[in-house]
Amino acid sequence: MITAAFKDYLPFGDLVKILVVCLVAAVVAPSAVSIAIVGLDRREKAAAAHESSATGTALIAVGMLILAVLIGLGLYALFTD
Amino acid sequence: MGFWIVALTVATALVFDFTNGFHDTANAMATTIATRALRPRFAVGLASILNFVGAFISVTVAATIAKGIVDQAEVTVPIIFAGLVGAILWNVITWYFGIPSSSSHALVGGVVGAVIAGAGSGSVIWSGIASKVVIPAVVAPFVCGLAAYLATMLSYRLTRSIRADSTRTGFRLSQIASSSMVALAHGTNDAQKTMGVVVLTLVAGGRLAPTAGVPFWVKFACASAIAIGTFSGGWRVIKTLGTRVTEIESPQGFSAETSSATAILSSSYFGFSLSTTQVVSGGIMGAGLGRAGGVVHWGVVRNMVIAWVVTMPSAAAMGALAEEGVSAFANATVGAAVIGAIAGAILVAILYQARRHDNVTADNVLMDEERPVLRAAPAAAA
Repeated sequence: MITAAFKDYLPFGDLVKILVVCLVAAVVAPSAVSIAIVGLDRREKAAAAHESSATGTALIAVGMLILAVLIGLGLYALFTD
Repeated sequence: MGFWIVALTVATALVFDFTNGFHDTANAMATTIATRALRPRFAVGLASILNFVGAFISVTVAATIAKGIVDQAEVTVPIIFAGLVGAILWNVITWYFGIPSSSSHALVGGVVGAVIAGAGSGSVIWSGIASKVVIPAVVAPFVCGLAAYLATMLSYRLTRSIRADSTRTGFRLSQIASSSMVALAHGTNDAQKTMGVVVLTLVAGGRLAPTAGVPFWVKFACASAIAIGTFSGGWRVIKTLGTRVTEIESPQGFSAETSSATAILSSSYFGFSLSTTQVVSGGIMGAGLGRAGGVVHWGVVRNMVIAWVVTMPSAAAMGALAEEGVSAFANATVGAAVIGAIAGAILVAILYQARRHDNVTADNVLMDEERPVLRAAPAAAA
């Protein structure tokens, strides 16, 4: 009965979608930043050891790309609001 | 409707827009300032520009106020004026005490109170209040808090083998992007809201055709008012959200702002509006809980929640008083001028008091001084 009354006031479907989007972003965004940070760290270590920094640079690029996609999706949501 | 009452109401709407920006600077920049990702003045300057830009992004302005909450036929220019006065007063009072409360709820509350005073409680759609105010207020902090909790845990876990300074730098830079998204979304949502109020005033006052678009001067004035308000920096609320709810490190700031931006943008996209203030507050709480050893000051949270609960009734009471005051005069313009002058005097007194005794500025916003802003009692910290 309580659920039925609550449903009258709140679109559950939309709420679930919002929750899912938030949880996906909560996993993807920190992962992307972490990948970039790990890449930065590897590149610094590689430079100190006079080794190739390609892996570090690639990780930074991947992290930044994912972040750019997330920002793009945010702007898309804003412009199509 | 006379020119002067319309002009006075438009000016009052712009003052509300200013207090909205002023009050909500913290939403985007409190964590960025707290983690020192940006210097305070630079942070509010950036938020100000993004609020200004955000105001121009969307062109869909509904000429309604509190739609679905009050009978639109009862919304007249004096009622809009009285509602705005109630919302402004509540915004400034909560700012004085450093309470992050919802400007949107204050506006809705002010109008509901004014409508009750002017047309009776039968003109209020109570189910609309439940679906548009009460339930979103309950849902927003939980949705964003859960996401921020998860994001914070992941942020620390994924970078635990990395040097602290690399982690700090990386998250600080990312935090600037996520905070900027919140500021942009805030400008879009909140400046649009005031544009709607101004357009409705012009239409109700017979100064604009109902089918006309939003005049450029309205867009520019609303964008400018919210941007100037944002740049003024509501330092007291920034202090509460940035330092008193929990001690924020850069991964937590990033997680809180990313979760907030996602919640605000996705809810807007799906047509379900959540309060920016409540979303960000929930995000900061979630981020506080997500760090191992993180401490959330539940006494501060309790006071915030109390403020959220009383925002609408308090703004409604002030809106009702303002409406009674305006309607006590035979001429609505004279009534609005008198009530506007009284409200202005109250605002000046509050601002004077804040400046004289408890001045929180960009220079001392991060200092841990004893000030009468919202804080937890020592025993309430857990």
